[in-house]
Amino acid sequence: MSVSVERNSACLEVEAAKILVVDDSAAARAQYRRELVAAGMNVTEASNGQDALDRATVQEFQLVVTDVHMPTMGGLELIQKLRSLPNYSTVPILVLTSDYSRERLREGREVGASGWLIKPPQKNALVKTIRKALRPKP
Amino acid sequence: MGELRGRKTISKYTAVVDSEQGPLMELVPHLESLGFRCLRVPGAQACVDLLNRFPKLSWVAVNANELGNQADGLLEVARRIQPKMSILWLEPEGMDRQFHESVSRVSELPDYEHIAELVDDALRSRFYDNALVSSLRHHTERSLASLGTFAILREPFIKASRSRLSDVNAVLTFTGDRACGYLVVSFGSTAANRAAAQLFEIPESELTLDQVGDVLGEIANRIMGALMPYFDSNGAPVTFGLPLFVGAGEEVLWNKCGAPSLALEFEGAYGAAFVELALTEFLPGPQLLSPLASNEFMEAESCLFL
Repeated sequence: MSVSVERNSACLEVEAAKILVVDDSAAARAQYRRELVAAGMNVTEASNGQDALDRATVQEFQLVVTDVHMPTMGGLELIQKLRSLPNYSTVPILVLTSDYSRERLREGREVGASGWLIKPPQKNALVKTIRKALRPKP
Repeated sequence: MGELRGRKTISKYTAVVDSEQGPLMELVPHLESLGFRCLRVPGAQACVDLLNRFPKLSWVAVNANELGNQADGLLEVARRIQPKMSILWLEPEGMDRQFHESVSRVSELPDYEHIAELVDDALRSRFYDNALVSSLRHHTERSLASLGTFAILREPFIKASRSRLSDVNAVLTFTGDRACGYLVVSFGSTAANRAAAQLFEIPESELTLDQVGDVLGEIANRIMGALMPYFDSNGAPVTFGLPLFVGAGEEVLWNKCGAPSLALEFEGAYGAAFVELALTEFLPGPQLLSPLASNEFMEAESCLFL
């Protein structure tokens, strides 16, 4: 019984998770926000890496979703900077981009990205992936 | 890099081997409407000379009735000099010849539209191979689907590189050492406004032009990103910048030099959408490190955990 309760509370935590969505396209952010809010998640938006970094230092997020190519600060530099912050050393950071060259993927791995998704994500793929990334490891 | 120095842009020359009043001359206006220059060649020997001296011809149409016993010789030379060049061969049934696979044989010209389709198919495959065509189609459908339902009206087709600009357009240029060109995503204002209002969940009256442009720019960005593996796999990697937004009516974006555009036309609930890809230069090189196959991502939950 206690196992079941723990599982339920873990699910609730995932549903109410605070997600930081970083993309310079307002259209892309709006699309992700709609999906994630419908799944019960709390979404904060940032329009570039610097904006995201500013928000992440004053508020704690359970997961970050970021694009790669953005003005001011790109997604990979954002990940590198977040990973140097104690609160974000283990937080899942997913890259959601239209760039899927092996070179970029290697760079993503090096700076500490947790996962790589391709734009546009298939229906519900983003929610499923976030749930999977937030699921407590056995 | 030496071969890149002084290179020409993609050539758009075609030749018609026929008499001045011959039936194939009817194709000339169609070829010119696609942006090609068309040279009329009076006989087999003149055509052989042209093939030898001008190896970048895109396509040749031959009225074999005019050639007599020189026809086989012309076929042989064409196969040797330009084995991949498409040839339209007009000749009545009954002649026993060895045609290589890039020759389309017709026995008469009863249906001009059918012949025009053959021309278009040949020229399309000359500039845009099947992998690029199917990739453009697939990723455009996916990108548009994220905004609502759009159905493709017809198969991808080529047109003169005078990209039609609709009410709202996003133009994305891409460049590299071996390839460059641009992608245009065009929407009518009704379709663009409805799509943006739906996405941002606000009334159309509250939409800003930035929001509408952002939607089209994001579509262009997604399509272009998905095409990058094609250029990588052909040894011609490209990079692309930020989309440029253009509001226009009946204006056109005229690219005089490059290949004819590869165009797609979609129909949605609120109007049509157009996507055009134009290559200004394309010089395939040694294949780079193989790009990730799309199915490495697209399966299951579409995420690669690192």
